[in-house]
Amino acid sequence: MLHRKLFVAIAGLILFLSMSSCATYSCGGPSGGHCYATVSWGKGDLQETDLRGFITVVTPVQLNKGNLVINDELWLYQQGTNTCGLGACWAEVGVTSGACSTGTDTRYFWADNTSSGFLCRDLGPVQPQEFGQPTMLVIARLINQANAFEVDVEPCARIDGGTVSCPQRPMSANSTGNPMQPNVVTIGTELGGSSGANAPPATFTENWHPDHFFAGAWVTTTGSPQVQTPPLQGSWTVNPSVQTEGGTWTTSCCQ
Amino acid sequence: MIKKQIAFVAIYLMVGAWLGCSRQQQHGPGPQSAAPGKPPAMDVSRLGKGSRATVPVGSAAIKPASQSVPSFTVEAAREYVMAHSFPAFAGSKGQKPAITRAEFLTSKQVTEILRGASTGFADDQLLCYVELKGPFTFSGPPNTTVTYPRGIMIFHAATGNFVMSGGIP
Repeated sequence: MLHRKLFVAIAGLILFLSMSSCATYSCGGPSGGHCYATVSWGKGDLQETDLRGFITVVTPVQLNKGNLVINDELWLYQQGTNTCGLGACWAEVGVTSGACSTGTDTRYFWADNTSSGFLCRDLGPVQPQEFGQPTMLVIARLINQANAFEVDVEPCARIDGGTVSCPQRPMSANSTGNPMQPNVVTIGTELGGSSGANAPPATFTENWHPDHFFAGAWVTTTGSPQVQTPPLQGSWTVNPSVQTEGGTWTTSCCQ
Repeated sequence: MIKKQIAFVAIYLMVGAWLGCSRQQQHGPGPQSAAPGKPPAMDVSRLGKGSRATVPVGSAAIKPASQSVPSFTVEAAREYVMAHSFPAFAGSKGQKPAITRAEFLTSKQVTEILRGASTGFADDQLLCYVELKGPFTFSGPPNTTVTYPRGIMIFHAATGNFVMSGGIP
């Protein structure tokens, strides 16, 4: 009888542990070790000899940073160099809960790591009418200005000119003193911390890269996905290899 | 009897794992085919020409104590920074980053400290610049971090909003 009670108690404990282990995750801390649900393209994947920029259209969703940070964003960077503060040079732009802000709400941000250091700017909260609507994220080399990139967030805007039901309010900035020769572009979700984060599915569509003459092309290859499941999910829900406007990369967290 | 118990535990584990993790294992719909892509309608010729910079709005942080500019004291900024830990701090556990500099500066002066990096504000905009002793580590794209010896937090001198942060050499 005693054995049976002990046995039930142990089984119950195992059940509890198996359930609770899924409420937490191991996505590093402030100093790195973050989890990603991303897809990346090298400039060769995009058949570019000079990767001058990239545009994606994200649908902002309510992000909850849990105990650290979660972002849906676009990165353009130069992998394999240590020319910016003993690290790679990059620029990033997107939607965050927890980056460059002490609050927990969902905000637009952009950041760069250049010879000046790493700097993160808070562009303010996502407006209620902007959730679920297309928001264009742009990073592109500035013409006739050395070491400088244009970084834009354009809520309620699409590349293809499709109708959007909320008013546009473009935000623009320049990443200056940025000596990168970009060789990789990445889109998707970054999660840092160990518990409490949440992000409903967000889509990255109209993935497009300008060429040397600022004409350009939709992405047509699936690139290199990197998805740490659990706690993140990420997949191509519309394959870019069929004839589409850059496919649809969909990510979510901790659902 | 032992076999029965082992089977019972195995079933319990399977049910537990299913209950606990099934929601996390859900995937979105599989890839679909889509309508043929249209060429971009956006005026791509404007790309790379730059636009007027948007100033960082920031988030509410230091409560203004007056209508003047600055609307708060350097001491109030110090108190805010000490009360809100800088998550990128990579020092020893239990240790807090020390404030090494806190003062009101124009945006132009901050840009000089930042080796030319623009704050996004007009040159004469007054900002509250706070510098901390690190190290501070920041995450970038996958598999990329960078560490700096000094951290910075910048506040708008009129609103008290926290507008910008980072690490510098």
